[in-house]
Amino acid sequence: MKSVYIFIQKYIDIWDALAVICYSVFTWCWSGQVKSNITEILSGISTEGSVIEIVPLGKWLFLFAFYFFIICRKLSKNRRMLTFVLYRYRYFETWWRRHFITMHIANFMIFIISCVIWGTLELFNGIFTNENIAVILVFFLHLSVWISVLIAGNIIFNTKITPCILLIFEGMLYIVSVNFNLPFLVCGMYANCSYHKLGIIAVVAYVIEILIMAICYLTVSKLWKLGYLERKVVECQVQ
Amino acid sequence: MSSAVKLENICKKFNKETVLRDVNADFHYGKIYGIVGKNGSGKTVLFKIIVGFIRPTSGHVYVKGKEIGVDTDFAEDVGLIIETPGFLSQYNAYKNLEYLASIRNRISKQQIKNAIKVVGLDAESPKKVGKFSLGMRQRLGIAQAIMEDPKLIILDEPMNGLDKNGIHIVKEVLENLKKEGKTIILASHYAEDMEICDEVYKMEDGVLLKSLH
Repeated sequence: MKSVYIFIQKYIDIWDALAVICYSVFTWCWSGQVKSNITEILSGISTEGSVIEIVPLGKWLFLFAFYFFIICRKLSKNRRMLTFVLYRYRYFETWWRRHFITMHIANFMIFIISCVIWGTLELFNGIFTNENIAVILVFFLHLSVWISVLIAGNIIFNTKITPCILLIFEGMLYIVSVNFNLPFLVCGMYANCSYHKLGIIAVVAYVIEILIMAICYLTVSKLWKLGYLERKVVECQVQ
Repeated sequence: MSSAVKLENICKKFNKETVLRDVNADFHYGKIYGIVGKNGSGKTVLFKIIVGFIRPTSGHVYVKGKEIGVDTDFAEDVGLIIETPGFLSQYNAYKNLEYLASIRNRISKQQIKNAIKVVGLDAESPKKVGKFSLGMRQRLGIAQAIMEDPKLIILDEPMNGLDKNGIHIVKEVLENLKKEGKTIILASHYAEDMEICDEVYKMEDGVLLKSLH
């Protein structure tokens, strides 16, 4: 039991846990409770009506903003100690791999906590269907893509505006997908991009998402080898 | 005598600005080396090149016989403090060092506590690092650099923010480490910090000038 606690503590602290509990209850409360709540929360906005729905879009972006906030907090903590951490590894690649995986595990654990809370509330409320699992997986894959971009962006650009850019980009993808009827652009929204609706196109969209994650990982490794990151990873003031 | 660090014709340019010009030096085991220079003279860049954080535009760096950037990315068996030490402010001194020690995972809890005690801090204190003075952070930075018993210790402005007692403790620690055969390279703006050094270099506009004594 103690080792489980130590393992969890390695990735999430008490503040993360409290924040995710509040977030999950809050997002559950705002869902319409028409059908399944998990579907309401995580499946996104249907683009079939060709009307841009601002409030649901805001809710959709809020879902991501929360995870971005938690991960950015962790990234900023890591950056503070980076000088002391980095030289303890022999190779940059070793550190980067560990950092990338650690952040994804932290994100996964936070997401799991919110799913457990949503699932529990769902069981009290009614039913937990197979569709719920598909919705969760599609959302989590999309979230993981943005988290990968966030982790890589933190190293490459060393700027705090990456999450804002990602949220704007996600919002723009929704608007473009509505205006030009391209539902696969919002591939995190199960309501638009599911195998059930789009068939093989949905699968291609998911594969592209996985490729984006791999590209994020490989880009940082490559940029380090090219020497581009030397003034980004450890801030270099001439002294 | 074998070299702990060997610098061969190191040049470093950032865009068009030349920061280091043809730096050559040999740093041997069991000695304390000092580098004095003004702000912007290139001391920190040189240290970052030795550790492997940045690559020289030309030239070669060897640490314990291994070429940095070729045989390994970062120097092995090194303890380091560069610029103002950054710690996790919500944890105490011990927790911070425990986290760092968990990366290499080669020292015990007792060794971490000893390193904290050596620099004059209380290893058992629950005081969070966020409430530490600059001097206390500096001491903790030195503790993290020496806790894993590295053969090479690189300290950039180690006396920064320290009071007289702190400076005395740090100098004593460094002299003891030298007796154990470690190589210590430290940089400072002030010549008076260099009294414990066996050899002192002067850094001027990216040029490392030969020993002053």
